Formats: sequence, structure tokens, C-alpha cells
Amino acid sequence: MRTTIRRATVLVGAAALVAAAAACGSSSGGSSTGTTTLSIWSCTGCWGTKFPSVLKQFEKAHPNIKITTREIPFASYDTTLAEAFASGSGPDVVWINTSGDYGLYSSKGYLKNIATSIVGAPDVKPSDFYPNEWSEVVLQQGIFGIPIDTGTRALYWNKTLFKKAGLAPFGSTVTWQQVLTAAQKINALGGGISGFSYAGGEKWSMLYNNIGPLVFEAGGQFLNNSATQAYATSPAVETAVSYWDKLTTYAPKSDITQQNQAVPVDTFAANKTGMYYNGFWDISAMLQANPKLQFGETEMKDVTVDSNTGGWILSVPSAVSSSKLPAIRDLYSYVFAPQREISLTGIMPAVKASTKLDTAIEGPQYQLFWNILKEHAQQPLPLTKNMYQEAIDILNAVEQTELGHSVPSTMASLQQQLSGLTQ
Amino acid sequence: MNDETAQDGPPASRTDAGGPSHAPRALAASMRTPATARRAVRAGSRDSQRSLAAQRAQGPSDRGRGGLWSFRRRLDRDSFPAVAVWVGPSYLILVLIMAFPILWNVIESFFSSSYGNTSFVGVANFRQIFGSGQFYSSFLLTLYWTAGVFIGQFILGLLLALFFNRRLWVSRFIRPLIVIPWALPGIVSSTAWVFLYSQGGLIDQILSPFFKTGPSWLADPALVMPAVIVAGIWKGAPFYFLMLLAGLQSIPPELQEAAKIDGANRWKILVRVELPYIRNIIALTSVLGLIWTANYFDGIYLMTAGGPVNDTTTLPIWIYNTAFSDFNLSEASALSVILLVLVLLAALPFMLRRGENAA
Repeated sequence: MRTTIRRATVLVGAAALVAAAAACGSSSGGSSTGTTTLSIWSCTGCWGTKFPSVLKQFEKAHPNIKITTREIPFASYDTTLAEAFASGSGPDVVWINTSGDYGLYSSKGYLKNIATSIVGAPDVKPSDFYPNEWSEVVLQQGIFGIPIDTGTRALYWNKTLFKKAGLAPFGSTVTWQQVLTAAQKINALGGGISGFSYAGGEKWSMLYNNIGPLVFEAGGQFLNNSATQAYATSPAVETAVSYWDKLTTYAPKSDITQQNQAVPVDTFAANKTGMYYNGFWDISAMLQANPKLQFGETEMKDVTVDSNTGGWILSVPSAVSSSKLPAIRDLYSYVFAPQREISLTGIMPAVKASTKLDTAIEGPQYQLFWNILKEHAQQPLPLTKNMYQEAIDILNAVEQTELGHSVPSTMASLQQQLSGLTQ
Repeated sequence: MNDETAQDGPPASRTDAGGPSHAPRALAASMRTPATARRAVRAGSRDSQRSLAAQRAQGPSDRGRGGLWSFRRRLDRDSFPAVAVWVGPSYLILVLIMAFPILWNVIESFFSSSYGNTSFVGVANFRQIFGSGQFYSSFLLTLYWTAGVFIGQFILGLLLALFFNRRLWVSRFIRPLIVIPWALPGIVSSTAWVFLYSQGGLIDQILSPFFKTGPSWLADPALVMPAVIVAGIWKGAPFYFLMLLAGLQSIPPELQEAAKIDGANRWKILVRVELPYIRNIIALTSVLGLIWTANYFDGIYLMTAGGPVNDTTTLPIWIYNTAFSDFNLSEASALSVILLVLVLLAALPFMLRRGENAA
């Protein structure tokens, strides 16, 4: 009897272990014969509300392709992607943010060069897109994604505070000196009012929204496009950094480490900040905070008004099998067709012909952002394996100058650091 | 089965499992009259020595071979497979959850991996870390942060515990309030401190009679680390308070009374009676506090993201940035191994001392 119980116990235990092992070993499968399954990852809320129904229509039109989707909260999107990419797992098609992530992921080899496999497919031709948007995805090493929507930025100015400070309204472009003078006069109003505000602790935003565009506008760049030459000590970079230092003296000092990008929006909406720089998506947020807010937008200009563009990009991770590329090509052609592209994003689309469609952001206050799309876009840093370190070195140097270090000596030391990375 | 175990296992091992058998007698003696407290403690000590001598006289025991050996010997051969089947999965899960990730992390630190391309690089990741100036800066910042927070939390926790270790009617209302900072999620407390430190925030308003414009607490390189240390102390001190208060309340009042009769003042009672009595709790709390503080990430990151100019980039923040901003998981693994070794080295004296006390 005792032996029987013991044997039964061992058998039950062994069966449980085998069952557990079998459960672990079974995979949720990719494609069965004749059917290709494509998985799409996006951050929560990044795609338009109509996009799921577009995918269903695509499946109906392509019975041999099945789509699975996963939405990941924005706060953990980067870390989830990084883990998936590092382990060689992840989706077949993925939403990528232009600011920082597109360059970083491409430089790490996480994204597939789709210059020949996808580009050129119906409705995925360079001429279908705004030049500004398209130029952002074309890197020296290839094309690693197709732009979905735009993220154009402009300088917001508070009409109420301008009036209080006795300032003339800005036009569609404004010189750096005009911005500086306005910031100074608004700051002088006192009572906790700042002339300017920014989120310096949000590193990529700081590089792509603030110091990077200033360097372009001054007619310079930190590194050449092939990342073989650093220009930190060039007159254009020194001019841009010196200007930034002057401008930020009219911002709260705590902005140096401010990570919350909502703070400039909220203080602007509360008539506590005179100016700040960001994208069109802030308009709804600031009007929600203060429906009576009076504001304008303008482009800052020194030598040029060149900027970066931002927005989201649809990419293919490099681990995706080549056998899936025809299905992915079909998917891109389907969703980038002008009549559907608006469903992909729900906001300002990257495909030119889509602009005539009804979007949530039609209106005079958005006109400047549409105009910016016709201009030139640049990536603040070229694509290299040291891109992250280069960005950190640049931002640390800028922070040092904000904290009072001399611009020429800090830039000389940055030049050495960047030169070390480019060798 | 019980009979067999009784014959197999020497009496010494049963004494080990049951703890010092004479300790209750000593405590009971101490309870009789306060005046006999010291004598009772000494008696307990003598009884313990006698018990140890008896164990030694009985020859070699399983004491040095560890619990698993004693456990195995107590099992008969027939029941061992069944026990292994039922207990084995739990051990396996423990190993998978705790040991495997650490081991994997150590292995990963000797490789360079990027999207399916993994290659063995030996100690190249470590060489890269030690060769960068950032390591020494982050190491010193981690020491600064850990020492500041650890000392601050301990002192504040002890003071609070001493204050509330009295029969005050207000204690029952205030004690739960003190625990709130510890119970709050990091994101909530950090956001609160960012608002407190912000320009025109509460701290600025309090200091407004002294400063025209308040200092930039989180943007000034000289102030940022003390500022986050204060927030860290506020967050973690309740843990020390709870542990030390529990320890202080476990001290038999007879000991304090005996010390008073001997003429000891409050300070001497604290340093000669109370703190030595709760030294094991202090050691345990210190080890846990040290490990948590050195590894602390969310509060600093949420308040400063390691800035300005890396002035609060402690090792955990550098690890996070390396892994999830630079996506260099191999170098981040090597950094994690270094941090693990450093924390273990720092905690080792406490752990060894605690082990001695337990023995």
C-alpha cells in the first residue's frame, strides 16, 4: 500500500512537471501554411480610433494575412521595445518615435533597411510624403521606416502677457533678438511670471526641440552627416549655445532638470510663461486648461528657419524574416493610401494627399504647423553607434553653460569629447 | 518514521532546532522581581554555556553541515523521493526566480549582445566601465547618497522610535501617520518633492524672509544631492522607526529598571542597555536599509533624471540609462554585477556580525 502511494505520488509529480514543460514549450505560433501572421506594436493611443477597422478591412482584402496588435503604455514603450529588440523578439511592424528613438534604434541595428523592399510600393513613394517628413527618415545608411504623422514644432507666445509687457505681436517668423527682448520684458513683470520655459530634463526633447533646432537656425550642426567631423567650436554652434544660455536666464532655474513636459504647457496656459517651444498637440491641452487663453505661434529665425520635424514612423524590426516582407509591403501600401492614412494616425498625417481629409486639427491655429512641413528637416545627430553618448555629451555641455561655465571653454571640451567618439 | 529519526539524529541537533532551552527559564526568573533581573540574565547566560558544553561533550554533530544535511538524515530512504517531488518544485521555482536572473546577469556581463548577435568579450565590458570617468563619479555619488540617506534615516528613525516608545495618548494617532511616507508610491512622493522644491514652491515660500529668490534646489550642482537626500530620508525613515520601535518595545522593563537602580542615566540606559539589546534588529534593519538605499532608483530618477550634468547619476541611474537609453544591455549587466559586489561588500560586516550573534 505504502509503495503504491509513493509510486502514485512520484507519477503525479512527474506528470505535473511534464505538463508544465509542455506548456512552456508550446509557442503561440506565427504562421501556418499559406497564412502569414503580422504583429503590430504601438504605444497606447498612438493610432487613430478608426485604425483597427482599417486593419479588419485589410484582412478581408488579404485573406492570407492575419494581423495581431498590441498597445503598450507610452511610459513603458521604450523599455518594452528595448527589451524585445535586445532579445531578438518583438513585432513585425512597430511604431517608432522620430525624436531620438528612430536614430538610436537604427544605429543599434534594431530596424531593417526597407529602402528597396518597402519604399517604392504603391502609395509608399517619396513623392507621396511631405518633403520635411520624408527627409527625416532618409539616413545616410538607408531608410528604416516610413513617416506616419508629423510632429512639427513652433514657438508659442502668450498674447495676454505680451500685451501686459507692452510688446508688439510676433509675425509668422521672428528673429532671435526679438524673442530675447520679449522674454526679458515679460520676466520683468514679476509675480512668478517667466519669459520662457522648457523641460531640460527630458533629454531627447531638449536636443530635438530646443538646442538642435537653434544650431540649424544658426546655419550649423554638431557633427557632419557622416559623423567624421565635430563642429562644437564652430561659430554657429557657439552662437546657438550662447543664445540659449541668454534665453534660459528668463526661464525658471528648475527647468534645467524639469522632466515633465506638461509643466511649460500648464504655466503657459495659466499666463505664467511668456513663450515656449513645442508641437501642435499642445494646443488642445492648453485650451483645455484655459479655454480663454490667447496665444500665437511663430517660427524662430536666425540664418534659416530649419528645424526637425518629429512625429511617428512605421518601421520593421531587423529580426523579421524576409519571407514576411511581401505581406508587410502589402500592409504598408494599404494603410499609406491617402484615404486610409488619416485612420492610421488620427492627427496631422505625413502623406500629402491626406491633408484634404477631415482631421481633428484643421483650423487657423494649425496653419503654421502645416506650413512648416514644406520646409527642410534635419536630424540633430547623424546615425552612429555612439549617437547616445554624443547626445549626452552635448546636453551635459549645454547644461554646464546654463549653470555659468564659459561657452568657449565648454565647447572646446565638448569638441574633444565628440572628436574622440568620431574617431 | 519518528522513532527512526530520533535514533538517527543526535540530541545536539534537536537542541539546535529548539533554540537555547534555558532562555525561557532565565526570562521567567527575571519576571519574578525586578531586582533579580541582572542575576537572571547572568543565570541564563551560564545555562547557555552549560548547554553548549554538554553538546561538545556529546561529540561531533550535524551542526556544521547545515540544515539540509540534518533534514536529509531525518528522512528515511523511502519517504525522500516523495518529499523531493512535493518540495522540489518549490525549490526549483525559488532557484528560477532568484538565482537564475542573477546568474544570467553575470553571464551576460561577459558578452556583447545586440539583436541576436551575441559574442563573448571577456572582461571588455568591465574594462570599458572602469576606463570611463563616469564610473568613479557615479561610484562616489552612490557613496555620498547612501551614506547621507542611511545615516539620516537611522538617526531620524531612532529619535522617532525613542520618542514614541512611551505611553502617550497621542501616539496611537501619530504612529500611523509617520508610516505614510514609507507606504507612498515613489512616483507620488517624488512628485510631491519636485513641487516642494520648485521655484515659488512651499520651501521657497518658507525661506522667502531670508532669500529674495529661493535657491534652485534641483538645478544647482551644490544643492541637488543634499535635496534628494532629504527626500530619501523622509521616505525611508519610517521603516527604521517601525523596526526600532518594535525592538525597543521588546526590551523587558526590568532591565531598564535594574539599570536605573544601578544609577544609570537616560543616555547610559540607551547606549548600554537598549541599543545593545536590539543590536540584532539594528543589524538587520541596517543591512536592509543599506541594500535598498544603494540600489534606490525611482525617487532620484523622477526628481532629477541624474542631472544636472550627471550630478545625481548614481550607479542605479547609470545602469538604467545604459540599459534603456543607450540600449547597451551587456554593459548594463556588467554595471549591475559591480553594484551587486559593492553592496554585498558594504553589507558583509553587518551580515557576519548578525551571523555571529545568531550562532
